[in-house]
Amino acid sequence: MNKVLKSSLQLTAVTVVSVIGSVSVYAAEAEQQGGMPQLDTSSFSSQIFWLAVTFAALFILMWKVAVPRVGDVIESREQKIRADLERAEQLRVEIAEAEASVEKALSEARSEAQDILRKAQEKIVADHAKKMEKLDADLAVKMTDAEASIEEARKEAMASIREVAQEVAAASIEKLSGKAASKADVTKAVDAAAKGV
Amino acid sequence: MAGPLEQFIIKPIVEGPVDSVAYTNSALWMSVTVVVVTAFMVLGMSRRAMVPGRWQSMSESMYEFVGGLIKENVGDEGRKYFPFIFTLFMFTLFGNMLGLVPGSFTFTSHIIVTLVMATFVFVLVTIVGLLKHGLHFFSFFVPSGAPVWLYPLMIPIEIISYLSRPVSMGVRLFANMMAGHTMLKVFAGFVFGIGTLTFGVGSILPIALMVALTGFEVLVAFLQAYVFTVLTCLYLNDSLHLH
Repeated sequence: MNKVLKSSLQLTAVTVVSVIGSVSVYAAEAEQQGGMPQLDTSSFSSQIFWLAVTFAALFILMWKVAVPRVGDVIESREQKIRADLERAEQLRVEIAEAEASVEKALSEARSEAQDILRKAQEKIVADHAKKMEKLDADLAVKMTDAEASIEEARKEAMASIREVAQEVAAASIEKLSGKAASKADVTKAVDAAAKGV
Repeated sequence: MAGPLEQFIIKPIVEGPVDSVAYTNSALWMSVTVVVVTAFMVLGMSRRAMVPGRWQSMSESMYEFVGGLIKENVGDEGRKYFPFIFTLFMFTLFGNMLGLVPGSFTFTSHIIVTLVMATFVFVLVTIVGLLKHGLHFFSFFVPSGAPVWLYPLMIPIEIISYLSRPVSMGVRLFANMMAGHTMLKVFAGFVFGIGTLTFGVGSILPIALMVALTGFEVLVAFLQAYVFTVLTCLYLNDSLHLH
């Protein structure tokens, strides 16, 4: 431990000595050279001249060549990005329009279908009602016909019953009395009896 | 061995027609910056891809970074000044960054360069303000909301603070770059200084520090270019909108 400390102290001392030595040597050299070269006025005119020449050359090169070139590339890139964005926006609008028209067509088709369905239903109901009406009318006609024919039959039956009754009465009188009754008397008697019924 | 300030010495590479415009190491690295920035931007955008690759993304993010700075600090009126502010940012950023390449020269570590750049921005921004607002521009120096009896005190203060803008802007960039590079060089010196005394063992510490400092300097290089650009934007905003 002591040894390490001792050697590091030695190294530090050597460093310090050499630093001071170097600096003093340089300081002496600088003094010998007559100070800073920056203060040597004899070089000023040449430096100013070549600064003006080179700076002007660089300015013209940048102004006429480099700057427009970079500017063009950046500008055209921005234009392309802008155009692409515009196109994307346009496509988005077109898609929205297409979606809206599809939606519209769908709703139209749906309402049309409903219309057709409703019409069909109405037609069916109307047809049904018409048929029922016709049927009712037919039935009524048939009923009256039937009623008429029944009445006729009844009348016929009633007429034939009188005849039968006269004949039965005449036959009965003949059998019972052994003598034929006059037809007019029988008819008179039957009619009188029938009135009583 | 080279001193820590030796890296800042201006050395002529090609003699100009007149000595005052000699092509130096500073001029060389300014030229390198122009070439590298132009290549970075132009070659990066050469494919003009709709979906950018890595390089194109970097070029575009530089553009958009500066565009964002202007939009945030100046508003839409600042768009006109985009090429200038973009050039300013790229020139300082790449100047600072290329200066970190070992053996290169950092022209932004010279006060004359940063001061001229800051003064140019200052003059430009003042002209913009005068053109836009005419003589009304000078109302900028009249503090709003202060009592009138304070005007004799406040107006000179406002004018001085306005005039000191290029100085603070130029000195900030120069001082940061110079301090960072000097520090790196001093620690590089320690690597040898301590190394020779401790048979190389002691060099580990300054080398580790240099690695950390280099990373730190990359941050500073970016940050100072950013600060320089943001200040330009803020001053431009003051000129365009007064208070």
